[in-house]
Amino acid sequence: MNAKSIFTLFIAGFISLFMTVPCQAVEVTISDGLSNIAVKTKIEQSLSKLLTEINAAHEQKRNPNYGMLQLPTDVETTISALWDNSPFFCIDDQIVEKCLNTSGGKLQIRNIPLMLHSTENNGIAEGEDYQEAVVTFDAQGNMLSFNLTISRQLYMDVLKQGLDLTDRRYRELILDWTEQFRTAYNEHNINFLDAVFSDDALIITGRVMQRKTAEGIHYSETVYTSQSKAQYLAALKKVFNNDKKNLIRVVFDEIKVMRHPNPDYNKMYGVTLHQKYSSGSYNDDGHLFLLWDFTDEEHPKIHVRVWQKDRYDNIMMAFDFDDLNK
Amino acid sequence: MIHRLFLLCIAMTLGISVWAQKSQTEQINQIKKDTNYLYVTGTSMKSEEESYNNAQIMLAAEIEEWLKKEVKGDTKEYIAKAKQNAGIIKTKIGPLFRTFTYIKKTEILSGSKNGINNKLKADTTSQKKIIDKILRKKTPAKAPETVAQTDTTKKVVSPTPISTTTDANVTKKKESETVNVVENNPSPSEIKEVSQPKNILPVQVQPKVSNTSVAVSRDEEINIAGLLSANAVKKYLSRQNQAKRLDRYGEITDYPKQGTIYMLLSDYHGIVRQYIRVTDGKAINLKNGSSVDITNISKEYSTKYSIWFTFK
Repeated sequence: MNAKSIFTLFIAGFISLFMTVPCQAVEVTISDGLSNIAVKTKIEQSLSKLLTEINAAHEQKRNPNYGMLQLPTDVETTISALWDNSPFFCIDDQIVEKCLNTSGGKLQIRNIPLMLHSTENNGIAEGEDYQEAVVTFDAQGNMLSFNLTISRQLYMDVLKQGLDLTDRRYRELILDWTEQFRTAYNEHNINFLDAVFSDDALIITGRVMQRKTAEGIHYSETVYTSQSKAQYLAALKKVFNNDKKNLIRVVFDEIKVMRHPNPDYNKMYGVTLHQKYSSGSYNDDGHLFLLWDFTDEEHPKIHVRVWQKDRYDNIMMAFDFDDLNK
Repeated sequence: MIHRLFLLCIAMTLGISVWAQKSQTEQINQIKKDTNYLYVTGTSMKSEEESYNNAQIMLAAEIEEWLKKEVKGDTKEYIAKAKQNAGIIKTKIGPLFRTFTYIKKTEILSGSKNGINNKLKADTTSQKKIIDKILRKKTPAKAPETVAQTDTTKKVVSPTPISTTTDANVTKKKESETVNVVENNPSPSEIKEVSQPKNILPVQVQPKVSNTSVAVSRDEEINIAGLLSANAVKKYLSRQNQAKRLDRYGEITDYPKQGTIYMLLSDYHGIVRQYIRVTDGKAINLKNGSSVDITNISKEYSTKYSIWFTFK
């Protein structure tokens, strides 16, 4: 081997050091918001281990191994469900974030930067997608949940609208729950939907039917149906059971949030979303209105769920439901 | 030999860019660990500009959230000043653009306080020169009252640091030597803190005054470019006045030739047709950034519904 070959190999090795992405261990540091050192250390270590394992699984093109992590079942289920759709990894090797205190004494670490690889089967174009995760812990530092936050674009939309959600805590609360609502459809989480709809919720669904006139002209017609919670969930359960290949995908883009104008209902928020729904046999594109009640922040309820094809077609706004006690 | 040198250059370039990226990340993490700072990270998969714009929006929300505990009353001036003084670090990971923007908490409050004190000295003489053409027809003009210094400073919390302990030394390098640009906009003109009756605009219609008027943020320009009617413009200016951001305004036949002014040109139905920013005589269309010829605007647009205005 002559000097020229050795030199070339050296340069190639030096370059490859920077081109390859080694298995990225992640170190989490809580910068503020938590004075209990033992709990702080516990959260930092458990989250560091989880994100490091996620990165290792991503690099080695395998599923995450939860064996050594001692995670609750809910967290394993959520991560597995996300992984099925879009394997992901944490893009930073050092996470420095504040610990937030939520209602009910829980602790939250937000803004965990993830890169998801979506595949075409999801109904979303193949490619990379940036999302952020929020991880919740109890007061003793035990992990309770791992969720993606609502997309950054929708979050920016809400910030730009501004006025009704100037309280950051409420903003994040509403958006987190809205994102969990969306994710519940993708994950067939009927239990979550059962818990989140109030027992007397008003639910109006729409279905786009393809029709043909006697002259053979094709047109689409939207059929609206009013259902009780029990009827809606029973029908949804059938849809989930038939979706063996996990093809249901719900995507929200465009979001508008309005606080109920009646001061007696100041914990009520109307959220209007542009929703794209797809499954193996059906897809539609319309607007979903949800009336959220955050009186009990730990267990918010949806009192109204209305789907409509067009945004300005008799749109349901929060103040149309002024007296909910009737 | 040349081949080897070329390969060596490539290797060194890669090494330096990776080192720069790591250095920026360390700087960001140092700031995050320091509780004396507020910070946000704007992201975008599309462009650096979008990540920057997102960061600006998020920073305003973050500052407002923090100011709720520190200041009573209107926080818009603090936010505007803080955004102009914020430090910025831009990074890119794969397809993701990130703009990390940060501001020291003490700067948010102390900068505004200095502006208030200095401006109060100027107000006594400037008040005598105030002319309001439009509103004098509707409401009687009334000279704005000078606010006693103690009244004004009640709003401002003493600018002592929130936390005197830091986990690490933070080197705030606003002029970065690394690959990405660190921007730090110059301070705006002094803030005017004068209490006044609600219906009066303390406007000076003096085209040849000094060039202390400033351009506003891109977000604010987007807001301006969204005003569709003369009525909407009037409401917007009223809000800006109540927020103490509006400086002067007047008819387009007599606009200032210095400083930065905004023009909204409407047709005879009162519909805004042109959104223009003029800086030292150069006119730019706010919507598409193209140059605009404003030599004949008073002939082409309604002088009744068209207006120029400046910000403090």
